[in-house]
Amino acid sequence: MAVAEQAARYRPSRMALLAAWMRRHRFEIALITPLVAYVVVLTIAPIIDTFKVSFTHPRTLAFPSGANYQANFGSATFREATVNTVIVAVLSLTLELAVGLGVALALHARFRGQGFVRTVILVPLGVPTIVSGAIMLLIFARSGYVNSVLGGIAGLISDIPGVNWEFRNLSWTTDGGLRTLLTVSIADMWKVLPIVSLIFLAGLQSIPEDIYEAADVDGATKWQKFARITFPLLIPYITMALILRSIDAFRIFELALVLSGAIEPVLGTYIWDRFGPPTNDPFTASAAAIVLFGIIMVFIILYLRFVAARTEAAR
Amino acid sequence: MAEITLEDVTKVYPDGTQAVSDLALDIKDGEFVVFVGPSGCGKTTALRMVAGLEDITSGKVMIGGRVVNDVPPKDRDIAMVFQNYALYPHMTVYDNLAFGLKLRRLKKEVIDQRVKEAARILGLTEMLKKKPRNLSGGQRQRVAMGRAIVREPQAFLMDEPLSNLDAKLRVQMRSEISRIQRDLKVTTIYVTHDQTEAMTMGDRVAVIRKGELQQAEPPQDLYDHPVNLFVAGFIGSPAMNMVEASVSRGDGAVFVEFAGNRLRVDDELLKERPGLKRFEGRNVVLGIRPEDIEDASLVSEAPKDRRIPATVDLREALGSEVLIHFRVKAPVVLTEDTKELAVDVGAEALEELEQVAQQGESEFVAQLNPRTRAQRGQPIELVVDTSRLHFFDPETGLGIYTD
Repeated sequence: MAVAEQAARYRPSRMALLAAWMRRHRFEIALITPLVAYVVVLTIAPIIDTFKVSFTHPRTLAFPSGANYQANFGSATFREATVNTVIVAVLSLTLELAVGLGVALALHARFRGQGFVRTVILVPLGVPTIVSGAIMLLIFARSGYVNSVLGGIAGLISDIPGVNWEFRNLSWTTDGGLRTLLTVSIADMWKVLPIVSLIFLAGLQSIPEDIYEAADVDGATKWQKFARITFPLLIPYITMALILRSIDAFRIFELALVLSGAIEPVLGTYIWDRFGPPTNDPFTASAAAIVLFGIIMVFIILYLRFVAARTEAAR
Repeated sequence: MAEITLEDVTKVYPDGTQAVSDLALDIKDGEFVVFVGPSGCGKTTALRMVAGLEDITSGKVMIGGRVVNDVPPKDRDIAMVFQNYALYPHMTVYDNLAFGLKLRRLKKEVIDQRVKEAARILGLTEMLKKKPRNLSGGQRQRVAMGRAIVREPQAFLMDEPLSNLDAKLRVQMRSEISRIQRDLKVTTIYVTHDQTEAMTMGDRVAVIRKGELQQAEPPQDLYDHPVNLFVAGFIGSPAMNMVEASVSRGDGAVFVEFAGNRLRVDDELLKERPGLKRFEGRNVVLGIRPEDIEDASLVSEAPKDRRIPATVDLREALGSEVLIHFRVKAPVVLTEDTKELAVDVGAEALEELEQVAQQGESEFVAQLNPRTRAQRGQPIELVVDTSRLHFFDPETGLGIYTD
């Protein structure tokens, strides 16, 4: 009885409890502190700061204010940049996944010199993005590689009687419009093809060979084996590549800067233009950054909602 | 349903390894034939050539009288059960069973009826909506079987289908597969390295060694009349005891002698194996199955020329029988056949075999009545059933039967 009363009277303070808890978990706390510090200082704080600046009036510094967003949405360049960003992202994602799958299927087949080809495929990974942009400039230049190949094809086709294709060299990067956006997308695809192909290759190699043999015996054709076995079993890998790449695709910056410059702005280059000289306007830049952040978030949520959930259910 | 004929089928891999050599075998319509042999003997390769999953280097494979060498697997009208089941992981059990039928454009009602019938036979009805990964090993095995059954093919080809199951389940599935095969009367080739499966399931058992067919006969014939040392050693568990012995004639009978033991060959056996005469005064390999040795004290009137004394090295009581191990002071039989058999058991087994051989001794196992009072380290008097001895030519390893 007395013991129970004493126990009831003695109540450790919250601070004492916390201190005891910290003493018990000293080692765990020591381990996670650097990571927590890293995330807070370098990720969360800048996001919050950007968020705050975007809602601050550029002249009166009043908070909150929608002035920056108004200015952005009123700007034709911003609207164009937003649309362009979405177009480039969708184009490059489609290209990357389709071509990446093709490359992975080719690499998965057994052939001589496989190791060498796999190594060559990896080369773009080691090239800085800005350099790959410069390479693309040369390839897509007016007197560049793409034009000369297309010219050659046009010449061959025109040899057929009754066909006449007069090919004029195209200004891929400076004409603007969809053609320039496509050029940016192709450049992006070239850069990330290794990653995407390797993800798919890993997926292909995870499918046991005897499943295909079972399908052979069951009567499947090559196409049926691809459509009904390979593809469904690759879906987890496709979604993985999609989420990894889609976040990056919206953030496209260097390639657009080098290749299309100001002709076809994307959100990345727009933010850069606003933030840097001569504009030096962190306010509209922050607001545009938050819009970009929002678009990426929408895609991630859509992804989690539809693709990831369905893949989970399909298992 | 159809008969399957293998005509001198040979498989040589690009690197030159000969996996299967001149395999010739006629499998009757509805017959259950088991390919058995140590791992790497080519039995699976042979099966895969029948399935069409492996090119045939030379020879002919015929299914239902049609040469199928260049026919792709899907057009051979066969169904296969794979060692690792090879179920489609993203499909439900129902879809796994229905897949082959859908590809063949069967009517939905027909597919549904066949899938449900197969599920009923195999007790899978409750699991049709599950994915393979939510099934136990035994259930997956049943799905793999079901996928073969629904197809109603000309032949079932089974590649060690029970090797991934635990012992108890394996025994159960063994009889279940036999029953299903008997009910459906589908020609079946069944590959296994487990000689118990081979003996219990097959109408005929084909023993394969290094790509070559040794003998294809009903299980009991194989057991009683092994064509050579390899078959003799491979079929039967515990394995047949083998020792070098000399054959001699005296007192109007034929005797075999080894390690100071002199056994009188039963007259009936002599009639059955007249070829033994050729070996009088020469050496043979004597084979004695463990169950043909008994504790002398449990046998009434065992004549002296059937007895061998021994000292018990090890006693294993199995309830229904007692195994005793003992050594015989006669050189062990060390031929390619017996070495290969030891390798199949494991690298240690070969080492042990060679070690025992160096000491000039042979290891024997006897399967005694559980009433035996045999004790470890104690001497014991054993009786050999001399009407069931086996003899082999030490040069060729072939069984000695006819003249």
